Amino acid sequence: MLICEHLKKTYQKKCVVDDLSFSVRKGEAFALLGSNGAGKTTTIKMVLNLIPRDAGTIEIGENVRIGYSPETPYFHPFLTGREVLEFYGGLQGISKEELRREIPGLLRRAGLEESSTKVKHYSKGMLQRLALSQALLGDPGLLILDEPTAGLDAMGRLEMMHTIQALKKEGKTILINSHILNDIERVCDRGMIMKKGCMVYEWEKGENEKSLEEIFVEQIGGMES
Amino acid sequence: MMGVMKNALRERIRRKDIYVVMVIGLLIVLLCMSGTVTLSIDGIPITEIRRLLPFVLNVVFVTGGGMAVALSLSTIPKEYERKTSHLVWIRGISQWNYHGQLALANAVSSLAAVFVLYAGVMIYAGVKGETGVLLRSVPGFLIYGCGTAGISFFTSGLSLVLPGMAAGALATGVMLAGVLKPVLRTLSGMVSGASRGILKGILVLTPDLYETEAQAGEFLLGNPVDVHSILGGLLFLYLGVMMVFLFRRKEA
Repeated sequence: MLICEHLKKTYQKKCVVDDLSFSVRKGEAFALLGSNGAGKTTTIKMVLNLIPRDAGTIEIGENVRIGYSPETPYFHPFLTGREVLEFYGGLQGISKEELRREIPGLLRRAGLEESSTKVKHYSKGMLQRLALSQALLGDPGLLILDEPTAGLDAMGRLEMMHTIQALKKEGKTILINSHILNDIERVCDRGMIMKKGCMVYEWEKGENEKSLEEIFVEQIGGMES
Repeated sequence: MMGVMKNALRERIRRKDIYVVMVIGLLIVLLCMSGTVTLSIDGIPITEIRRLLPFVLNVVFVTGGGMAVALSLSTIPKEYERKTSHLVWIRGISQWNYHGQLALANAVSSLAAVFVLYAGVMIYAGVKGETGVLLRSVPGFLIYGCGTAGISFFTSGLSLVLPGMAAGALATGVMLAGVLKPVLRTLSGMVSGASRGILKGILVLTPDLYETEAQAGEFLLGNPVDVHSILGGLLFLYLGVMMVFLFRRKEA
């Protein structure tokens, strides 16, 4: 579904992603793990073609549409959740008729059916769910979620994880960038731990007796990182 | 197709500071026109509307120019800061299209703000029985507005490549130099040495917005207009539009 080979990105002479290769198989959930500044977001930006890469190749399956949910979603506060989805769906080229059919389901899934509430009254959790909904517009094959549980309370995190698990069951391929290792361990099949722009460990569910947290501390070096 | 523009426009019209400036501008215009404040040139008071009109249009133009800078400054970089650009770019909207729509929203909102002040002047002219002025006011605004739209696009373009403060200072400087051309011309004839060179340089490098706006005044009064001066304003507008389309950002 997604093959990245020898990716490299340098910012002002500082190498932030260095010779990074990984692949994500169809229907699996793959995690990008690492401390702040490890190069996870830069990798995602390169995959999304939001920044040019200095070297390497990115192959995305034929006719695969990508849905993206950002870490800190911002939506125009004067819009309702429905209007946000109509706006992004429109930009995507989805017809009004299709949107009329698709949006109620997406809002229902996100628990945002209340159509008159403006985004400015949304909680952090509601914003994250709306961000996920806009990522699901047009039924994308590959979902890229950047810190989907960032800033959420325990209940919000749980709900988001349930949604992601449900999406996986529906056959979506998911690439997640997250700091919360328990969440990753629960929903992801595979992943990689990054340090200073490089992959230092390739993780696969059930392959190692140690928990992901233990592996992470081992690889990153605990407090040192 | 123009979804980004529509949303940006909805955001711009929610800016309360612009309404404050607009109300102040409208008050100044009404004070000048109603005779509460008497204007005089060489000690001779101007009360006749046809003599008052060019002056008031100039006041509206400067106020509108200020509003255009405020409405257009840093609005595009803000979209990048809050990463709205990510969700737009990944949907295949090209950078020039995105910048173009945002800058168009800036220009439309600036023109709308100026139109409120301009319409105030026109209504007053109509009340005073100047029906000819009133009838010519809509096509007149097309001439009048090209300077304001030019300032807006120019500011949007500068915002793409310069930090907010620098872009604002430069855009305001160009706008003021443009509307104060006659004053600068007089000054350059009065000074000598390096100051004269600097003033001459400013005169060459800045658009003659005063002349463009003055032609709108001439048109409204039914006088012949100088097409070259209008073309000068259009050229500035073209430069601003080109800046928006050609200046690019490396990343979303």
